[in-house]
Amino acid sequence: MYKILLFVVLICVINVLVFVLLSDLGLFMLTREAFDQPWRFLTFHFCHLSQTHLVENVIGFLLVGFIATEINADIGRFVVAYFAAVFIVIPFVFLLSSEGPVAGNSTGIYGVLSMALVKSKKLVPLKITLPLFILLIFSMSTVNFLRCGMCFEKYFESEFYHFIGFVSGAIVSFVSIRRPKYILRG
Amino acid sequence: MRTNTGIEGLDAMLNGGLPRGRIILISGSTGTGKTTLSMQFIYNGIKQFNEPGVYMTFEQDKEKIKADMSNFGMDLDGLGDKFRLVGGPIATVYKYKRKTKAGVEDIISEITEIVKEIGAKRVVLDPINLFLMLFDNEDERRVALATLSENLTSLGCTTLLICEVKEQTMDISRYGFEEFVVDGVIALYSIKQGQSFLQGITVRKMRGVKHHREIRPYEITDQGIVIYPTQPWLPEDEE
Repeated sequence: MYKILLFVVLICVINVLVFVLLSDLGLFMLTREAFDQPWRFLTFHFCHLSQTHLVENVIGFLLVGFIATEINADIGRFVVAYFAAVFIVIPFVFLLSSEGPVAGNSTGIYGVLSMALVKSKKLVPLKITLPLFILLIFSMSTVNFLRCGMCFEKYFESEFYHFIGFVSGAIVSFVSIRRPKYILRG
Repeated sequence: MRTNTGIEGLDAMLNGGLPRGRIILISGSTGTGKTTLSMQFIYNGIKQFNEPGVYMTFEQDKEKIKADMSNFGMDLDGLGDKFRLVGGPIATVYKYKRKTKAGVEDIISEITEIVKEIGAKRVVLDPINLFLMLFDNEDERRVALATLSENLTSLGCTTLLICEVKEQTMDISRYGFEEFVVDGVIALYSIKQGQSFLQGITVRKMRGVKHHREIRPYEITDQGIVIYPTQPWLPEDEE
């Protein structure tokens, strides 16, 4: 049961150490140069753009880790949902012609969050949680649109990656739903 | 609220029947008629009280049970959709368990599913000690028994858990914790006296029910178990 928390703490510790110890984080973030520097594909999610970015992700990941532990989520599915949501954004980064570096594991956090929501669908129905969280993900763009009649590309792009991570976590959860095993009707 | 067993003598000893929606342990050594008594509970429930029932066996082949019960006038195939006979010899069930890698959750869900499918109000698990052998350790056994009891109670089922105990003892369970998770215990005794065995039945515990506390004699007849609720079990000098 505590394997999930162990995994979460491990990722958080790596993220903090990377932020504190590495002087040139830019070398490890996801940019268009990744095709020439392929390690960026693997390292970008350990890097964070600022202290605030790091603290937000650490707190967010720990909270989701506690929730997943509390609902007895499966460690295997948790890890798969996390990494699927982290790496699924890579093609979208290039499709959206992002200029700035992409870093952080927030898409993974959204992935495991949606996995936890699917797992606990009996507590709160998905027809409530999924739309609510999608609205939350796009809250900045929604507010901007309502206030100024436009969205800022920078925010929308980040929200879109979170959305992709969120959707991929839900997909992993649905795909890996346990099939019943019958032993008495044979 | 009571669940009438349809066995007159037993209902008389219980002053009207088993408490509805509760878990009852039926304990006894080999040949005391635990399976017959429990199947009568299911059969009478369907025939007399229109209450669907599930019988789970972990000891005998299903076809053999059907054949044995037909000797007591119980046509199990004629019960249709109101009856489910599931399981089989423990070796076969265990083989399926290993093959499918089913865990505690899977087994409990399957039982719950079967009960829900026919809206069963009566359930028998025969025997609980073999069922518990499906699990790897003491913790799993306790969790399985507690979860199963909770699920069946929440579904409003009156459940009999059959428990095989050693010969010639007054024990009522095998693992020693079964009697603590149930609401009632009915014990079947078979004591050797001279050239024959004297069979007796008693209600050892029944929460919320005022019941007889004496051991009463019973017979296994071609009509199933017949209990004599007013007769003494052993001759005066043996008591």
